[in-house]
Amino acid sequence: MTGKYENKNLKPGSFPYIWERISHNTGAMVGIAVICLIIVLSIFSPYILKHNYSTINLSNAGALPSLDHPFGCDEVGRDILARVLYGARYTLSIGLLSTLFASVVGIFLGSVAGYFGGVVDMFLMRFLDIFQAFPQLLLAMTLVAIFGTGLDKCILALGISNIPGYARMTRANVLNIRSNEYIEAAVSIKCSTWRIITKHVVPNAFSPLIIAMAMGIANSGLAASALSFVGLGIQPPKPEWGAMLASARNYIRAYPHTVIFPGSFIMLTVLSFNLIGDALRDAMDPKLRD
Amino acid sequence: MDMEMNTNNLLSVRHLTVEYTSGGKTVHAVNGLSFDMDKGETLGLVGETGAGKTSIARAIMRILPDHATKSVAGKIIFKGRDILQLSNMEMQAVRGSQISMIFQDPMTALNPVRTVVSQVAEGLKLHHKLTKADATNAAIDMLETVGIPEDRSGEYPHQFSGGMKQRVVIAMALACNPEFLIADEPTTALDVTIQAQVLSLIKRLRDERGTSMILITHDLGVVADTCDKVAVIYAGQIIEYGSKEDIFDRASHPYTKGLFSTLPDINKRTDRLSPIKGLPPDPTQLSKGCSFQPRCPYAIGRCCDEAVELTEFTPGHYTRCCNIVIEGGVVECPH
Amino acid sequence: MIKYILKRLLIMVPILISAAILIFSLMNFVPGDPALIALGENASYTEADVAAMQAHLGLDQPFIVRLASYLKGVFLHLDFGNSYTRGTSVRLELADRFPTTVFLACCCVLLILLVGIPVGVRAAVKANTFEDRLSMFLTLLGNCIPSFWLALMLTLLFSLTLGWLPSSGAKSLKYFILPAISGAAGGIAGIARQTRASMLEVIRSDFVTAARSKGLSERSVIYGHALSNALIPIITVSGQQLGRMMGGIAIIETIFSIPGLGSFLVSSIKLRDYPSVQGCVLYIAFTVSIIMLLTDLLYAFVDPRFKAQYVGTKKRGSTK
Repeated sequence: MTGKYENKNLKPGSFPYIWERISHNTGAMVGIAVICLIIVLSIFSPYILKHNYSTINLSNAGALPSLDHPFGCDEVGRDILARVLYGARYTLSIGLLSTLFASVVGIFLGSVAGYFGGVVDMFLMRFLDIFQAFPQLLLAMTLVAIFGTGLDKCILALGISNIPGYARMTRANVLNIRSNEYIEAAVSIKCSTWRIITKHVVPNAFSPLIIAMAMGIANSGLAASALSFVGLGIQPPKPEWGAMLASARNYIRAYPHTVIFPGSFIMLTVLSFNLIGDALRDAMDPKLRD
Repeated sequence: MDMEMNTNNLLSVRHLTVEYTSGGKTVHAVNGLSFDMDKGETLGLVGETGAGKTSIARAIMRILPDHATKSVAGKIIFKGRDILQLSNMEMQAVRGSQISMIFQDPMTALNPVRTVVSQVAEGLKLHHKLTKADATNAAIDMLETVGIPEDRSGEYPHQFSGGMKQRVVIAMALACNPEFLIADEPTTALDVTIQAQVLSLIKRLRDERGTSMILITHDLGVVADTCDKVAVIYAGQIIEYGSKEDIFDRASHPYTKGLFSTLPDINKRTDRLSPIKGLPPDPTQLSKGCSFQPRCPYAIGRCCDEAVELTEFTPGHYTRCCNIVIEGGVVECPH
Repeated sequence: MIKYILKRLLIMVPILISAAILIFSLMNFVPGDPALIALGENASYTEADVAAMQAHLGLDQPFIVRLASYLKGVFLHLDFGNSYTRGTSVRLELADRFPTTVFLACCCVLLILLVGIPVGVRAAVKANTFEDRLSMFLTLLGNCIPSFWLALMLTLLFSLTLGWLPSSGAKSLKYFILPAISGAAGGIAGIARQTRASMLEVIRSDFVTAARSKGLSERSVIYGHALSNALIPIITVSGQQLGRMMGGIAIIETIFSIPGLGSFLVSSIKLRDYPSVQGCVLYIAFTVSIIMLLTDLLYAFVDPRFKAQYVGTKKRGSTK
């Protein structure tokens, strides 16, 4: 799987290095291609497609896939293809933004805990322990109970429920690196703290975080559709994939084809990010380095 | 090589070849190796790391790693049957009860989550068809024989020191009283002070039970202490074979000579050690000539070009060299 | 051993108390007046009614007092208060639903372990063959498939088209088959992958080769020696997967109309019945903590080195 890499001068941990290794992984390339395709289609779909995602046309209710409507129509005659492509915006934006939020806050908390140690560390970790006594999805649901439903609140709820994971990971990395000998060596030659952080700590803590973020986008996207499915996330008639499945469920006997497409797209998106994450993990695993 | 098979033969290896795959290339670990062993004999396999000694041992036991092994060819005749042709079930009956192995690193050779007595008893239950209670008792006896007291037999490997662990490994190997034992560098991973104890334990048990043994080592002192015959391995071939006296007093191959001269002499004052110049050859790219030629101080033209056969130049003493070096002079190759 | 269990149970208590405080405080910031919710949306009421309801619910008291009385109620009397919308004791509702959720969770766990581990072992033994790649790809798909979508597709096939299995309710074992499969799919994937990775490492170990050299059958070697050592990281991942699965159970229960804690949580949130939400969340947190404790206890059974730390076996000094 990992062959010889031409350019051995690339610095491990840097973007060119990562790209070099990922580009040899078929799964990752497919994943990246699919995500890019979905993003592009989602942005341009209202301009390219014949039908609008919200136009109701009861005479077409439950229409099977045809040339006019490649994915068919839903229970009130809306074009499923248009809805599915538009709906990507919700899943991708929630996935991305909640992960960004969680990672930024989590990295901050984790670094503080790891760097200062002592009481600060203990206090923060006990606090995170309480959060982690709840399964993530349930915590998100409870937060939705408080904040309410809607795109921004969904992002916030999912973001908060993911913070402990990033905080712990960062803290472990910081502790690990602090005690590493090359930090001692850097300090002993009077390397400045800032330089130590940027040149030593960040590149090494970086890799597991990037992998976690790739997986995190997949998980948050999945969680967002799960929340919308039970009515606690994005509400219909917005074409979020989970919400679409919830409406389709009510008509599953009459129009079974309506449940196929939104679910497939959820799976496709999650699969793509997982493939990218797996490839990143392989790329950064020192045991697999040539 | 034409060694005659005699009725005292326990083991006959003929043209054994083992190849591995690694990173897309073929590693020629063992190359057409042949030797015989008599009952009750102890053969020392001497060579550097990577010479192929462990591959020989594992080929005999047929425990080469499946995923990396490309091919095994040749014949290994043990008590009249070719081991390489046995079915899996037949081989399982042989392993542990007729041929056993002592592994090099006691730290990793024992299962961490099982007690030592259960690991020794396992073979007894399997091969001697004992009940669990009988097997456990027999295992306890075996452990006491190697110096592990009964009240410690129920403990786990991590509770023992390295030397004790190796004793357990020895107990495991000898529990079913195999006729043939392969000891793969049994003392290399141990402290020097413990090495002598463990080695004398192995010798004592061998003498008591009349076990035939292959002892793999890179330590010439161990060879001198334990072995009857010695085979020097280099690049997957035997390059010299003979009795202990032949090898130690009358070493003929330049490599063997080189090995002995690397040993520091306590009576001489020297500033530098004298290692053999150069490195062992790359097993993925073996040349068709003599494998030692690049490092050999006596190499002549034909050493590069032709493969050299193992020749018997005094009775029982074989060497794979064109220029047979004896005291004082260089004798031209008889071919 | 008992000491270790007791110690762990003791640590759970402050965590649960803190969790209760956290939930209660969070619920306090919910917009909207609980009294109005309790009175019902469509009923007409006067200001006096609202005030009376507020007094009835104790909303006129300061936060700290309410928090203290809630904690006292929960931890000393197991009283979670009364449902806003139904007026009944939350505890009764929770106690009723708890066994159902536990049963569903156990079915999922069993499925995850009984399918995931053998698949992983086989993939490791046949590493890098077509069979291995295929099973790893299938498990990857299983990981990515939304459990609710799988539930819908399974319902479509087995319930609506073939009519073999029921799609809602929880009257007998048959009703739990589709829910268990839907809930377990993701977990199977995770366990299978971890088992494969773990086994690959262990299979190359010296002691596995040593076991083979004793003449043991390949089956004994793999399942007897290799797997028991590979289990340790598998248990860790199991704990994580089970925690994740508990989250998904809420969705599964809702789809299949199973009267458990999860579906109760979802409906209570939608109805804005906050005491029910609080009680349910705490119950679930408690269940998850117990699962984590059981997982940790498993380590002690599987790994004698771990057990030694907690049972206090004296490590004998090295005698030669």
